[in-house]
Amino acid sequence: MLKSLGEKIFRLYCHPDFAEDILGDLEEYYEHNLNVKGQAYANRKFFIDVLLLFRVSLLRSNWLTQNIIYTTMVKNNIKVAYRSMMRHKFYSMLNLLGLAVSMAACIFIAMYVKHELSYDKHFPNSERIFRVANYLKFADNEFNLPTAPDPFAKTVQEEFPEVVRAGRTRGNTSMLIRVGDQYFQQPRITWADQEFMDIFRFSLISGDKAHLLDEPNTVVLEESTARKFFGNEDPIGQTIRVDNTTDMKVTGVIADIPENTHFDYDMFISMLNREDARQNFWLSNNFVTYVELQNPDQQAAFDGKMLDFLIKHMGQQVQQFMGADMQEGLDAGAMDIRYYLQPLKDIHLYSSLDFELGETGTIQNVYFFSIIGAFILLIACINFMNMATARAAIRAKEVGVRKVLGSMRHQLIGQFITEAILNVSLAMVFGILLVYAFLPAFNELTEKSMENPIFGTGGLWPYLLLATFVVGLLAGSYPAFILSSFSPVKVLKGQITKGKASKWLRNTLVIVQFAISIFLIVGSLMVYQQLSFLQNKQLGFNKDQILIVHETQLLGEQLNAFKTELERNPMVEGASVSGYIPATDALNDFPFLREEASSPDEAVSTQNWYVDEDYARVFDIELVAGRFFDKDLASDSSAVIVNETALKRFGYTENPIGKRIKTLEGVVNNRSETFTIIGVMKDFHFRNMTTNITPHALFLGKSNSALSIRFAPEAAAEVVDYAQNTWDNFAGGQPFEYSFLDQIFKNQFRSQQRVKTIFMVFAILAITIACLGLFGLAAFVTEQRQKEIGIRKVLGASTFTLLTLLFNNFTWLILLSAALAIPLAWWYMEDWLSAYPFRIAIDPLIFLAGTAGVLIISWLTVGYQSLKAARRNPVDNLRYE
Amino acid sequence: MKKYQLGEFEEYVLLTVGVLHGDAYGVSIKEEIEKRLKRKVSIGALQSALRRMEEKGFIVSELGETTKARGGKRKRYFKITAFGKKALDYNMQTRMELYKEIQNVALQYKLC
Repeated sequence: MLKSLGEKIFRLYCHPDFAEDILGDLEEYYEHNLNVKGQAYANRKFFIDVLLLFRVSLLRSNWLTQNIIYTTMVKNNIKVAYRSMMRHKFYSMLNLLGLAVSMAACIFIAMYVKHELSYDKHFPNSERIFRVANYLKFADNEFNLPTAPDPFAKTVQEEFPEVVRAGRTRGNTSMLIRVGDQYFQQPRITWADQEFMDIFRFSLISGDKAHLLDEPNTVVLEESTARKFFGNEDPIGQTIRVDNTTDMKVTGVIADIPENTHFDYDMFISMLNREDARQNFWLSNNFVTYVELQNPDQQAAFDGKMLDFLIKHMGQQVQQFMGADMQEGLDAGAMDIRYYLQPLKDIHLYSSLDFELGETGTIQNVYFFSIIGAFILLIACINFMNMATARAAIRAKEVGVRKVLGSMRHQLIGQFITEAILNVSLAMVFGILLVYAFLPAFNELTEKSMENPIFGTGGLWPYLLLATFVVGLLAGSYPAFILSSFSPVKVLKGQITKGKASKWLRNTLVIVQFAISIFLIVGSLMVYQQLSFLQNKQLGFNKDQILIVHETQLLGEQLNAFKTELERNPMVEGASVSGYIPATDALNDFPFLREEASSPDEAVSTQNWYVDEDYARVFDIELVAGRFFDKDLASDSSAVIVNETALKRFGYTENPIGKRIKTLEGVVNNRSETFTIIGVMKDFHFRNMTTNITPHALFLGKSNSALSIRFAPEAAAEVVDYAQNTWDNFAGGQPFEYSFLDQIFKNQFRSQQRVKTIFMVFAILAITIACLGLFGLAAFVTEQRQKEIGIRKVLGASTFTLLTLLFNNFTWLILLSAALAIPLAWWYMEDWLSAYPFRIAIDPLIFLAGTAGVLIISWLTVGYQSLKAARRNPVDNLRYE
Repeated sequence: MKKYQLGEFEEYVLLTVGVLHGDAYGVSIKEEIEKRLKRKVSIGALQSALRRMEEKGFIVSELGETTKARGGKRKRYFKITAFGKKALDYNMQTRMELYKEIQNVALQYKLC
């Protein structure tokens, strides 16, 4: 029983050539054992021997004993591919170049997309962390804020069981830090709760993680900041002096927070240092609040409980300060208060509230770039297929001979696909080289700092390997099927149709390529126009020749003396002390009402800036009525100057001078503070060019964090020197910080500049790749029509006629693609422009210019080949050998 | 050297095939080695060594006559080839050369 089973098993795996004699041997042992040790032992021994005979060298031929792939054939395929590449160096180079450039572009896009998608996912428990955001509406003032009132965090932590902890940060500012006798102007400082540290679990380098910011006057530094301050010394327990007023102790050093984080802070000061962090005021939203839930599914439940929670805590203060019942107001629609949670990982791509913590990306951009990347790769694949099918005639004989000699169709397909994959692999290598060559430019453009994106940790190389095969298969499959379908008889008789069947396909491909190119060119032209429109638009104030000295509050009482000293220089045309500088996103928002208003519904959300009496003169702000502040009039402390937009909103259209406005606080019991309008300024762009002009009011008041100097033309260097010397006389060693307003203004357009550059780069790429394809195709078509050209020339056709003949086809194709691209571009750019309150109208000339540009470029591309063919001696064209 | 790649066990098998000239088949080779070397030989190891060496060309084989014994299965007789002989010679020679090189001192065992 066991023996026959053993024999079956043995025959199953053993090579049939060996089975007989080995089984014979086994039989001999079996008989021997049967006689000596009995049947049971003999059976068992036989079976065990069968199992022990399972050796690789005795196995049947199978995947183990054979070569996994038929390497000979693959080697041959590669050799043929190499030869055909070398035989047509020109075409091969075009193909490779196009593929390599587009691969590089795609890799860049993949890097960008991957980085955008990685935001905030590096925090442990990132899926359980949420940020509190809100939507607020009072009368016609609307807010979408990423912030919450100061008691919010503490209260949700106490009342909601699902909240593990809640923590806050506030502010992102720059302060003067003194370490020993060195001064540092340290940017990116924020105030944070200990709970904030607990939620994000930054990787701690030194310090006690449970006691980082739980005492006043403590700070946590990022590693690089700590090194800047202390060099190689141990920072823990050291003291730094903040803003020249407070000594603080360093309690922790954390590893640098990765770049792909929605906030960017270098230094954290304990929230306990802020008075306003514990005033229990529910009506202002100044604290960025993060909540860690027990599990991510509780988000909806949390949001659901919010309304009752808000009415419970906020209701009383709404009643007290605004004189309205919160519940009633919500029911009547007079106000709308909604607080909700945003998942941490969605903040970067999906959140675009007013006052985000940093520049956010958008998921639309991620999609847009992914699509562009796919298109660029598609164009390159199309080129490859185009070229391969167009040159089918050249390879047709080879296919015919191979078929006659017994090649199967699948072998031919394999051969052409190998060729494609080989091409693509080579292109990928060049592409990767290109990526590394252009990495610095890419980093500058995207403001990221990638070092080794492909072979570094978490690099892209596995995807690239996969992409090589996929693209190879994609680009290789169509020509492979076409070429391998040729009938050998026809091919060898010379009846091959020279790829006419695929002409419509080739034409479609050309149309798609040029449509994409035209779209991108038109797009970049329009972005350029819009940008220069914004940059050259009348601002309403004069941004040129203004020097801003920062941190002037450090001078304290001496600030006025400093100002007087500066004004004595003949190059200085004026100086004004105010921290509120146009175009710097200085914000100070609170509502005002017209004097007769009795209900909070009439409140107008207003930007309120505190300035001195020289402000209008220094910034060249034009008044349309009334006067500016006067130092000598005591009554001006309760005076206000508003802009035209504010005037409209208050409803003071006629004779505004002398009218009054009042604060929202105390409106119920008529105890509002009132201000008299003494002047009306012409609307000017006090924020930035991409936002609408909102109500704006100037007050005479103290804001001493900066001093602006208007200087005479071309005196910049001199004035900076003078201001610095004067500063040194007053400031006693504290650093002199300055900037120029026109520079600040220019920096506002960084993101638009970037869109412009990206559009341009892609437009250039697309047109280059498309033209490479066109060039190859033109060369081929001209070659095919060689005889026709020769005959026409002999019969008297002029060079011009011949050129028209050759251009005709391409011109039509490009016009068709323009017809396709223009509506698409119109629609897309209209959408893009609609985000800007001040925008250009779409100019049809741009479409014309774009199309004409592409036409000219393609004529030039085709022209060289065509002209060469048209001018050649017909004898050369017609001769056979 | 690579050309005459011969393992220790393979070498014994090859020698035995030579010794049993004309009568070398699985069972006899196994018994001969076991008798001379006083060690157990597994059938698997022996058979795979034989097939390996046949592939390398050190031995050749042919099937014998059908007999009633062994359930009617033929024996496979192995014979050493000239190439196999060369491999053996080479192995022996290199071994002897090495052995002769050893200085006498090294063979005088003393307690250190």
